[in-house]
Amino acid sequence: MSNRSAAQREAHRRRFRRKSARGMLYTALICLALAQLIPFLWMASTSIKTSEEAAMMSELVPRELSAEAVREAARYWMPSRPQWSNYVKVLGLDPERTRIRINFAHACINSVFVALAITFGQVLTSAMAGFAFSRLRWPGRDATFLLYIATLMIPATVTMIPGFLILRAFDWIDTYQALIIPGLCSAYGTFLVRQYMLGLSSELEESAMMDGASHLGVFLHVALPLSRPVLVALAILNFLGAWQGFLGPLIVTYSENLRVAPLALYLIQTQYASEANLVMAGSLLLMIPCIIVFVLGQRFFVEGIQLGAVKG
Amino acid sequence: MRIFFILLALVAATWVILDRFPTEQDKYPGYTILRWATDANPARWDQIRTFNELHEKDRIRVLLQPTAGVATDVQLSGRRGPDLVDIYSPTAFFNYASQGVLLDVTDRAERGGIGVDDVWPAAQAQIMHEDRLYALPTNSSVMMMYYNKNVFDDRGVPYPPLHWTWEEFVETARKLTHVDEATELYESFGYQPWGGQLALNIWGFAGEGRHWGMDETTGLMTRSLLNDPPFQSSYDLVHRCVLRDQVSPRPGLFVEGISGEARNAGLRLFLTDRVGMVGIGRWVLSTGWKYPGLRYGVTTIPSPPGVERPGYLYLGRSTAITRDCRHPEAAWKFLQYLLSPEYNRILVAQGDGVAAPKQHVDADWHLFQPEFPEVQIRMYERIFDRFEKKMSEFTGESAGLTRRERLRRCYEAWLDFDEEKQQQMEAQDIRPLQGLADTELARAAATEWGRLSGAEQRQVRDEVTAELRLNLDAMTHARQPIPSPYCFGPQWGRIFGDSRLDLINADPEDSPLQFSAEAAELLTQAARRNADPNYGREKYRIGGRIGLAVVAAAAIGLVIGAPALGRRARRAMGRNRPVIAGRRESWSERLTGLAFVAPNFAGFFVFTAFPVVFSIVIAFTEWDTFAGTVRWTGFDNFVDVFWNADFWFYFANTIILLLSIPVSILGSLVLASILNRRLRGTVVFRTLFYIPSLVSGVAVLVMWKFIFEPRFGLLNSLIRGVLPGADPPAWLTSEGFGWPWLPIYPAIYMMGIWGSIGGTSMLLYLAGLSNIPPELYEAAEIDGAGKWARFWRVTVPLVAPTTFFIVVMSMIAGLQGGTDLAFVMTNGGPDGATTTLGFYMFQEGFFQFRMGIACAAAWVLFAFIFTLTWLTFRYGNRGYF
Repeated sequence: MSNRSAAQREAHRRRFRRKSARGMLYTALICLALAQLIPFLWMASTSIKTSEEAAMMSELVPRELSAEAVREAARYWMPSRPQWSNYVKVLGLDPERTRIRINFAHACINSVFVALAITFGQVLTSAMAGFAFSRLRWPGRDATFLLYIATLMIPATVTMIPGFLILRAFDWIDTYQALIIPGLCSAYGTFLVRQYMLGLSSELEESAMMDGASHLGVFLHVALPLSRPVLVALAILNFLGAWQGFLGPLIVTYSENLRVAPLALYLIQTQYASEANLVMAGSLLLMIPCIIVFVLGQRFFVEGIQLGAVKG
Repeated sequence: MRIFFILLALVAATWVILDRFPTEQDKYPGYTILRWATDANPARWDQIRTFNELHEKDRIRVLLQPTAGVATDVQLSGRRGPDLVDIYSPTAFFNYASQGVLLDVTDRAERGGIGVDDVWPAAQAQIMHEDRLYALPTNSSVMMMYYNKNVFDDRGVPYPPLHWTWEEFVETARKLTHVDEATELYESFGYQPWGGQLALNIWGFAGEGRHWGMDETTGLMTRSLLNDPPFQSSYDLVHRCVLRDQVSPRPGLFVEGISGEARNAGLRLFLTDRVGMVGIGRWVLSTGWKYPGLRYGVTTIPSPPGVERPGYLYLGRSTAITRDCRHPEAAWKFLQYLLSPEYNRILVAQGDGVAAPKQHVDADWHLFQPEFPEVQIRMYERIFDRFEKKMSEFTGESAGLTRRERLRRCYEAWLDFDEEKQQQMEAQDIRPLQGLADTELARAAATEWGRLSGAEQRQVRDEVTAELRLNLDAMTHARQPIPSPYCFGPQWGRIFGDSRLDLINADPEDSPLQFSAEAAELLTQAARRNADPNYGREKYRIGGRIGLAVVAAAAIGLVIGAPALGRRARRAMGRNRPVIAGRRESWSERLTGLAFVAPNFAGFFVFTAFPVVFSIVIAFTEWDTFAGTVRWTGFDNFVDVFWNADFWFYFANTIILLLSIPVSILGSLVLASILNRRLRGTVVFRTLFYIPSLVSGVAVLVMWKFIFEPRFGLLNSLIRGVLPGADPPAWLTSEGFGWPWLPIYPAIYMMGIWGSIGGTSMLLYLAGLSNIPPELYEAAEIDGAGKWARFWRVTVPLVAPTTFFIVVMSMIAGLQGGTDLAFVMTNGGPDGATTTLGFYMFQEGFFQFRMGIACAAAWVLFAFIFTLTWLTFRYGNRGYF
C-alpha cells in the first residue's frame, strides 16, 4: 500500500516536474519573443502618436501600482487618439503635402518594381544556368563553374567601385537599368540552384528523355517543378535583398522618379528627424512587405536556407 | 513554372502603376526643368516659388533636390549632376572649380553687367577661381555673438556690451555656467561654439591671422600658419572654455539627440535656455522662432587682447551651374535671380542671412520687414507675457522658477482645461505657444503685430533695424578663411574634426600651443604632399619594398602552386561532379547548355568577374572619377593603406564591433535547442524569433536610431522607468565620460544580438539538432548527466560542424559590414568608433573620390578575410567539411 502510494507520488512528482519545466520553457520563450518584439511594438505605437506625444519623455513602466500610473504607462503604449493619418502623411498622399515633401508612395512602388524584376530575372537566369551546370554536358562547364565559385568569396566592396564605373560607361547612371540589371545574375544564386539540382534523381529525367522530351522540355517539366523549394527560397532571398538595398541605389540613382523606398526613408529620417512618429510609420511600412513575403514562403525559405548551408 | 508567370505578371502590373506616376516633365509639360541641389531647409520653398512665378513666361521650373548623404558629389562624378549646386565653403568651391565641375559664367556675367564688386568682398573667395567667375552668392552671413536673455536673467548676469574683450567674455561665460549641486549635472553652459565647429570659432576669435603662407623652399602656398601667435591664442581661448574652465559643453554633447542635422540639434541647447551664448550667423533665428519663449540679444564677437576690432568671420553659401547642366541659359537666369531684390527680400525676411549684393543694403526692406524672425520672436514674447500673467492665476506661485519652467507649467495647466474653457480663453486671445504648429505661430505673431500702436511699432522697428545694421557693419569687415590650393579633403577633417581635437584634449592640462604647432605641421605636410605627389614618399620606401616583395612572392607562389591548386580544385569538383547518364553528349545538349548559361554568364561577367579584375587595375592607379583623371601609381596605394594608422584604427573598430558574435551564436544554439523540444507553437515562435533578422537594412537601423534616442527613445525610457534617477547616456553620440568603453559598443552589441540571435544561425542549428539521434540523450541521461551536462557534452559537440560554418560565415560577412549602420545611424562616430573598414572604403571611394585607395583597401581586406578563412579551415576544421 505504502509502496504503491510512494510510486504514485513519484510519478505525480515527475509529471508535475515535467509540467513545470514545460511551463518554464514556455515562459522563457514568451519572454524572449517579447524582448524580440518590443522594438517593433514601440515603433508601432510611436507611429500612431502625434509628434508632440512621440517626443515626450514619459513613464512607460508604472512607477507605483496605482490605477493612474498604470493608465499612464498604458497610454504610452496605446495612445488615446491614434493618428492613423500619419501613414497617409508619410506616404506623401496628404493632399496638402505639408508635412513630408518626399513621395514615399512612389518610392515604395519603385522598390516593388525593382525587387520583383530582380527576383524574376535572377531566379530565371539562376535556374537556367543551374540546370546547365548540373544536368547538361558542354565544353568548359567545370572551368566556368570554378570561376563562379572563385568569385563567391570576394567581398561586395571590391566590386562596388568598378560596378559604378561600368554603369557610368554604359551611361546607365540614374536609370532603372542601373537598379535592375546588375542584380539579374548572381554567382550565389547559380551555385544554390546547381547544388540543389545535383541532388535530384536522374530517373525522371531519363524517362522524360525516353519519351522524346528535349532538354528544354526536361528543364521545364522535370527540373523546374522538382526544384521548387530552392527556387522559392532564392526568390525570397532576392526579394528581401533587393527591397532593402540601400548603398547601391544611393550611388547610382539620383532622380526623385527613381528613388527607392530605403533611400526615401533615409531622406525622411534626416529631414524630419524631429517627427519621430512619421519616421517610425515609414520604417514600419518598409518592413511589412518583408514579413508578408516571409510568411508566404516560410516553409520553402527555411528549408532553402538550411539546405544551402548543409550542401555548401 | 507558375512562379515565373506570376512574377512576370506582377512586374508588368507594377510597371503599369509606375507609369501612372507623373514624371517631373509630365507635371510641367513644355517647361525647362532645373534641379537645384541644396539643403531642404523649409526656407527654400518660398525662394523657389518666387523664381518660378517670375519665370512663368519663360517656362522655367526649378525643382529642389535635397543634398542628403553623398548624393551631390556622387552625382557629379556619375556625370548626372544637378543643374545647380550649392557650395558651402571656400574649400568646397575651390575643390569644384579646380576640378572642372562648374560652368564658367564670366562671359555671361560681363554681358549681363554683373561685376564681382557688386557683392561683399568676403563672398568673393566663394565665387571666383583664378580670376574667373563660377558662382554667385546665395546668402551671406557673418558670425556674431547671439545670447539668450533668459539664461542671463535666470543667473542674474548683466547683458554683454557691444564691444568686449576675451577676458570679459570668459568671465561672463563662467557666471552663466551653472551646475546643480544635488545632481552634479550642468543646468546651463556659458558658451557653445556653433554646431560644435571649434575650428570656425577659432577663426572667428582670431582678430588677425591667415591660414596659409608661402613655403620658402618651394615658393608654393603650402605652409600652414596655424602656429601663428594669433591662432594659437584663439585656440587657447576655445580650449579654456571647453576644458579648463568648462563653461562650454564638450563637442560630443553638441549633437545631442539623434538628429542628423548636427547644426540644428546643437542649437537646441541654446534655444531651450541651456546655453547662454553662441557664436553664429543670423540664421539661428530662422530656427529660433519656432522655440516659443526665446528671448535673445546680439553683440559682436569679443576681441583678443590688444586688438581693436574683433575678427568677423564670413559664413556664406554660393550657387553654381554644373558642367552636367542641360539648360545653361535657364540656369544662368536662376543665378541672376540670386542678385535680384525679389530673392533677397525673401531671404532676409526668412532670417536666412543678409543680402549678398551691396546695392540692396540700404533698401528699406533689407532693414525691416514685419515678417522678420526678429519681429516674430518679439511678438511671441508679448503673447507669452500675456498668457503667463493670465495663467498664473491657475498655476499659483512661480517665483524661483526659470522662465522656461513657468511657461511649461502654464502650458500643462492649459492642457488640463476642458475644451470649453480653452475656447473661452482663446476668445480672449490667451493661447499657449507650446504645441502650436509653425503656421499658427506665424499667424499669431502677425495678429500681434497688427495690434501694436504706431509708437510701439516704431519702437520694434528701431530695435530690429539697429540689430540688422550691426550685422551689416560686421559684414563690411568680414573675411573668409583663404583656402589653400593644395590642401583640402580628408587631412582637413582629420585634423580639425572636433572629435580629434577632443581626443588630443583628453588631458585638460595639455598645452594647446603644442597642439596648434602639431596641427600646423601635419597640415603643412599634407599640403606639400598634395602639391607634390612624391613628397614624403621616402619614408614609405622600405614599406613599399616590403609590400612589393610580399605581392611578388604571392604571385610567384600562385604561379608555382597553380597546378597543385588546379588539381585540388578538380578533385574537389570530382567529389561533387554532376553524374549524368551514360549516353554520349550530343550537340543539342552542348548547345542547350551553352544557351542556358549564356544570359547568366553575360551578367556574371560584366557585373562580377570583370569588376573583380578591373578593381585590381584601379588599385594600382590614382583614379579620381570626380576630376576624371587616371594616373598609374604602382604599389603606392597598397603602401599607403598599410602604413596608414587610420586603416588599422578602422580595422580595430571592425573587430571590436564583431565581439558580440560569440554571444549571439551561443544564444542561437540555446534558442534552437529549446525550440527543438516537441512543444506546441514551435513554428510561431520560430517565426517571431526570425523576424528581426529578416527585416534588416535601413528600416531597422532607423528604428534603432530612435530607440537609442537619449530623451524619448525606448531604451532610455525603460532604464529610467526601472531605475529611477538613473542618467542613461546618449548611446550613439556620447563619448562616454568615465566609461571604460564608449556607450556605442553595448548599443551596437544589443542591436546585433537582437538581429541575429533568432536568425539564420538558429535555423541552421535547428536543422543540425534534428539530426542528433535522441538515443544519445537517453544514454547520457541514464549515465546521470544533468541538463547542462547534456547540453555541453552532447549538443555542443554534435552541432560543431554547424557552428564552424556559422562562425566562418559571420566572420566573412562581419568583416565587410557596418557600412549601412555607419551611414544611417552614426556617420562613423562618435570619435570614429563605428567607422568600419566597409564604411572607410565607401568614404574613400564616394566621399573623397580616391577610387584607387578604396580598391586597394578592399583587396587588403580580402587578403585578410581569405587568410583568416584559410586558417580557420586549416586548423579549426576537424573534418567537418
